[in-house]
Amino acid sequence: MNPAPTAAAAPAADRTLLQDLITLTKPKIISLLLVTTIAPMYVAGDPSLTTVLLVALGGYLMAGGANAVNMYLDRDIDDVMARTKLRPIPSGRMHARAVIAFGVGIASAATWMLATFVNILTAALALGGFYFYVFIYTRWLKRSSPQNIVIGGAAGAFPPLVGWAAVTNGLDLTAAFLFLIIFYWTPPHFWALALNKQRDYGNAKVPMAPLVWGERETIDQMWWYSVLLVALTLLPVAFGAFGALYLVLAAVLGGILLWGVWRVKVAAEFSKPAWWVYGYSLLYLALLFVAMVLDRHVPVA
Amino acid sequence: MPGPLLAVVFWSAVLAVVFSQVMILRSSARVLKAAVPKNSAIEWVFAVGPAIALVFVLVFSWRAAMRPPSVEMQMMPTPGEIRL
Repeated sequence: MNPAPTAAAAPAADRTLLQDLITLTKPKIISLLLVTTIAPMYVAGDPSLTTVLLVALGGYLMAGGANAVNMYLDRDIDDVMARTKLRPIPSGRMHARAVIAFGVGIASAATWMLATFVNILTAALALGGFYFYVFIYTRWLKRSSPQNIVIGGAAGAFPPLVGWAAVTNGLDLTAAFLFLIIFYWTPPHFWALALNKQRDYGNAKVPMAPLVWGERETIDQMWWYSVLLVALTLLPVAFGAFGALYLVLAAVLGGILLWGVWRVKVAAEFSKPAWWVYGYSLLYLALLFVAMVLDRHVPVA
Repeated sequence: MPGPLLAVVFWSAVLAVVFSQVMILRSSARVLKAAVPKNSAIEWVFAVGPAIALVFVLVFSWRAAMRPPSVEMQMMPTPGEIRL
């Protein structure tokens, strides 16, 4: 049985089924995933518009399916967290079985579509991201380890591999770097959120790093992950994957990120700078991938 | 870009990556000693695993950066290959 709608869910009670289905896919999160899927396609080569649209649709359906299954598996804790209690299952607007059927259905459609119209490797990588997010992150790590975000970050790092494989039907060192960039971007990004949502995570008994390790140790790791990330973004220049334009843009964007995380590290009250890092890190990742495309396609004198 | 500049970018980035990873491992060791988790072996794997993967990627990067450019590469640079 679904839990009864809570008082907090009342304002959302008049939402349509279509709106709820879109909510299940977490469209805001997917918009960044699509940037990190499509930009690598233009770094890897010159894909046709049809291929880009197919990968974008397949990527949306696969990630949306994973997010819907995540909402099914997390339906017990979504009800006790302020930021998730209005979701379709905890608010009682959708039955849990309908949600998992929807999630598995659109992920299956994505697999078929990518395998049929793009290539098998692209479909396999997208499906690998789905399984990693659902089973490794959501089912296993999220509730059992404070390093849930560190290892779970690999799930969000699949999209550039998907985009790369769609164009080249293979993977190489540059693709591995795109994977690693997102892998090392994830901890500082999500810990910035976790620092400000400790009560929520505590109520849901999710062992996020600030709750288990303490705030100072988490912020310390945020700093070192950020330094590692920025250095990692510069390395592909050294083996010729990107040129001077990317080097300058990556250095500037990374410098701003480091400044933001440093403010969290030295602040007596970290809440405001941590929110800033959370917001900027989203922009940072998107702009970094745009910089890669510009470097490949804008001639520099 | 000139070769010496690329070398500076490569080695300074490698230094920062290695030093940061060591600091992350030190921090992980501190937290694992302070509060022993239910399955500390798994937590150690989670801490050390990415560092090992990083070593492999750095070695491959070094090999790619040191590889002399071929004629085809100079004419048609492809992702992940040298454009020195």
